[in-house]
Amino acid sequence: MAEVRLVNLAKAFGPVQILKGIDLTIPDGEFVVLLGPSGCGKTTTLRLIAGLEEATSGEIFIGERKVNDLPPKERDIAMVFQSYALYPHMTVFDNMAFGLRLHGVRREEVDRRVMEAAEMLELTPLLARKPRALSGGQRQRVAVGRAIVRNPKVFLMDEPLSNLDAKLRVQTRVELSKLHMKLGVTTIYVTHDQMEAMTLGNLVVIMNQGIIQQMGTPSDVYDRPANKFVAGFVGSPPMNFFPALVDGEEELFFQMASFRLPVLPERCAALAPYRGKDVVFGIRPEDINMGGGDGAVHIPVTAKVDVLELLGAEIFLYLSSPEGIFVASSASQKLLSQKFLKLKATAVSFIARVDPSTPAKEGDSVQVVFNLGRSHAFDADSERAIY
Amino acid sequence: MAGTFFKRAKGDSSFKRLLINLILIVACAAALYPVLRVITVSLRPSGSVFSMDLSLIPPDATLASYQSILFDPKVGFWTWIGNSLMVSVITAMVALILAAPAAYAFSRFKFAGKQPGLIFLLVTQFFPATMLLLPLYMMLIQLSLINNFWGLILCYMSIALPFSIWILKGYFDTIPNDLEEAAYIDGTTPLGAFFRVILPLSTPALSITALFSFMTAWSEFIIARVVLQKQALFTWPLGTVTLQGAYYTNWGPFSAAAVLISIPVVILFLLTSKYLVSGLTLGAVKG
Amino acid sequence: MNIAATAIPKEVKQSQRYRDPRPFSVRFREHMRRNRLAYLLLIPAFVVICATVIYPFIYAFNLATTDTNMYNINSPTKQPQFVGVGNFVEIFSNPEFYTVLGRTILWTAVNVICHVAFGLWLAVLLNRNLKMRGLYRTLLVLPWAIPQLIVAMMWKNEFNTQYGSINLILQSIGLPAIPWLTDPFWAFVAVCITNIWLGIPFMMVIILGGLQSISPEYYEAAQIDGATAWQQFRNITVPFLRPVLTPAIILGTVWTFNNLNIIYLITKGGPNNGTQILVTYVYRAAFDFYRYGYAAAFSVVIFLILLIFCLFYIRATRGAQEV
Repeated sequence: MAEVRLVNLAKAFGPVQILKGIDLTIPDGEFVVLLGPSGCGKTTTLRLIAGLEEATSGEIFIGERKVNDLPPKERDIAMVFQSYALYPHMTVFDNMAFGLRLHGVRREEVDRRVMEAAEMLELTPLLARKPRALSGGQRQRVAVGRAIVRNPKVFLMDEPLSNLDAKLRVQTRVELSKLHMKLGVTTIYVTHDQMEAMTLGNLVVIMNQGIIQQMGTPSDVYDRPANKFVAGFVGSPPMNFFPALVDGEEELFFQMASFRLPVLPERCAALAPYRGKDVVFGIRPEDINMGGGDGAVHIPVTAKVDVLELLGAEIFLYLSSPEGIFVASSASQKLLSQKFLKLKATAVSFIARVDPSTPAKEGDSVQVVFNLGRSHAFDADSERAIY
Repeated sequence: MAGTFFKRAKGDSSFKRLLINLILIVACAAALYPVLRVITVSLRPSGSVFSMDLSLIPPDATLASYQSILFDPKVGFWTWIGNSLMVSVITAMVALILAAPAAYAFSRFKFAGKQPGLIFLLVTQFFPATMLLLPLYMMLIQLSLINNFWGLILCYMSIALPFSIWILKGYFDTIPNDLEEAAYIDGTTPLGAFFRVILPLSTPALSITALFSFMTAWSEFIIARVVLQKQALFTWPLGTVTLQGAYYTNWGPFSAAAVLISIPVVILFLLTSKYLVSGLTLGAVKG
Repeated sequence: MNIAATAIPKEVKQSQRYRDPRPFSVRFREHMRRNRLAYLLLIPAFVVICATVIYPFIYAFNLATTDTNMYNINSPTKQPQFVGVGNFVEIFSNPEFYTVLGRTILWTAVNVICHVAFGLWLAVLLNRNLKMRGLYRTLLVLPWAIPQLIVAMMWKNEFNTQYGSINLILQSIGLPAIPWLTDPFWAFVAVCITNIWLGIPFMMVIILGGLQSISPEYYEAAQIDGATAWQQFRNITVPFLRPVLTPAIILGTVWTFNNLNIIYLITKGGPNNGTQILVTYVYRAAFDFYRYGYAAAFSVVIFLILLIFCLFYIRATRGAQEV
């Protein structure tokens, strides 16, 4: 077991920078998920740690050792591939024993460790089969088994659940979690599925365009996104964003295209420098509810229900606020940017996630309340979170 | 996959189906008839080879021709078979041993000259037989390899090796890269991954490729005729042709030899033709 | 979003416009480090290919510029002389070359057209639910399975004017016997028949493979749109077969163009050179008349003809696909 440390790690394929210098320390024994859209560099990061790609610059440490120039076999890692990459001509037993034999482990020891892993993963009755004769879930378990028999310092997993059907994926997710608790080996897990990331990871690293956007616990990245990308990427349906103008004299307002919301007093200090400027106001669908507001934290907005999706336990309302009257105080009127003026004519659409008992119908005009205590604001240019 | 065709065939009227079957039966007869005729001729007694009889099994059928081919020491049938076997087996083995690593390099690496190399391998298919045979023949004279099996094998290598590389490269391309990467992580070197994972995994493709090299060499006449001039070294194609020459008027033993030699090759071929086709089209489409 | 940054590595590897700015020596060292194994794996095959293909290939060009023949090749008194393009001049100024070239083209065209036509026809017939489909297929592939030498000898026997079964059958239905192997025209017909018989299975099997890879959904969609059988064939079968047919036709053409076995074994190019095609002509020049330099030049000419044909064919079919 060991800590994994990446120092200013960069990778370019020809002219294209896939990784633009990332720094990351993964503490010993953690389950870390690299999350991001495809092409964000997460798989490349994993392959660099595995030694399947060469870094263009930067350093990789596993434990105290710098491993940049070591071949994969000397890095003491094990990997589960998205395709599982089981050797089709070997039995399940041989697939799991292959790595041990290569490392010169004695025969009895090989047998013991394979049997132990097979027991743990309920593969014992399948040991004599070839991968061809296994179901998808069984193959996935063999791939995991092949990794754990080796007893490596680090597990690398590249979207190991993406080839399973939805039900099995949830089941296996739990199994992986349990396995990690049992073995306590540092695990680096790559996925584009935020549900996997949030449920599996002790730590989630969100990447985009070759850069780490945020690293933190699942609740960190959900509740306190560091920037607009993270806020929009984590959560489904995604966070609603409204272009807004910070307006007002003493009390500040977010002036949207068709409605305005007050800035809570405790946020005023943070937003003060943005007075008269564009920001992006963000709020998650579950923080928009039906009903009248209390006028302070819960602010009512009138909106039309375009589409209603009933999901059983909850309802997604696709709403649009009517083209309301746009009022800005005279002081800031002249500061309004061109961009914003264009936006004001259009209706704003957003999604609310509400209780299934809500009596809304498609086409209805409804009152929704924004829970401002759980709202976010982002710098319009840098997209960094203001709060 | 064949769903529609099942439906379509069911949709065919019975008259249409009859017609289709009729056409196919005629086509099969055309494919089969000359072959059956060889068997017929081989069964005739030596006196009635010039029979005008058209029946498939001659009324006076006899195995005399087979007997003379198999047991007449003057004919040398077993020597030819032995020579052919030796040349073909060595050709197939050497071609395979050389081709497999090269094909792997073509499939997995981006070395300098890869693209031109592949195109060159394809272009060798455009060479008329004499293009290489003539210079090779002169080289063999200079190296005193005329009338030598190794000389013939060298000539066959010029055909079998590019072909084997091309076919195997096509096969290796279908093996996902993940397998080698898994092997690296399990602890092999790149060379180890080739020997311990890729090669064992490719056993079927390797045997098919070897079989095709074998069959090419086994049936080859034009080059053997130039390289081997001593009777004792004759491969079966050379031998059977002399048989035809020596007994010019006697097709019986020739036909018997033809039947005996064809049976194993035909069986092997029918078993493996599917793979040859996929190999050829795979390689060619990509080129 | 930055498009370049989200491109997947595989696509990047294929981009060839990019020039690595690092100095050559650095790039060279990195290339060698990455590809050392590739070169190691290639060396054995490369050595043998050099000896059996590349060296003879170059040697053939060299030989083509000399007057080497059987009498001066190993003679202590006479040396082969350099004749420059002399052999080529002789080839191109000999009117027989053009006759033989014309016949070769005719031979290739007749054969390939028949191979494709019959192959396509049989494949389409076979590509349906028939009870004896497997048996039909096996029997139809048979001509390909038999060694060519035996095929040639077999047919030569059948073409025998007096005793060959073809004439016997013709006579039995009241037609005159045909002087198959003694008349140049009929001899050409005879070798064509043999080679057509021989080559159909290859095309049939390739086309059948192509047909089976066409998803039935396309036909279902076309049927829903009301396409006739011919329209389906024209608009689904043919375009989907093109990627299989193009290489098969190229290979078939090259093999037929270069097919020495059948003609050499049945007629040796006779009677009266009436079945001579380029490869038999050059094989006889080399190994029956021992004119090595001339034969080498001739081989080079054949090779170049084929190469030019293929380049044009590939370009033409690519063009058709793009349209």
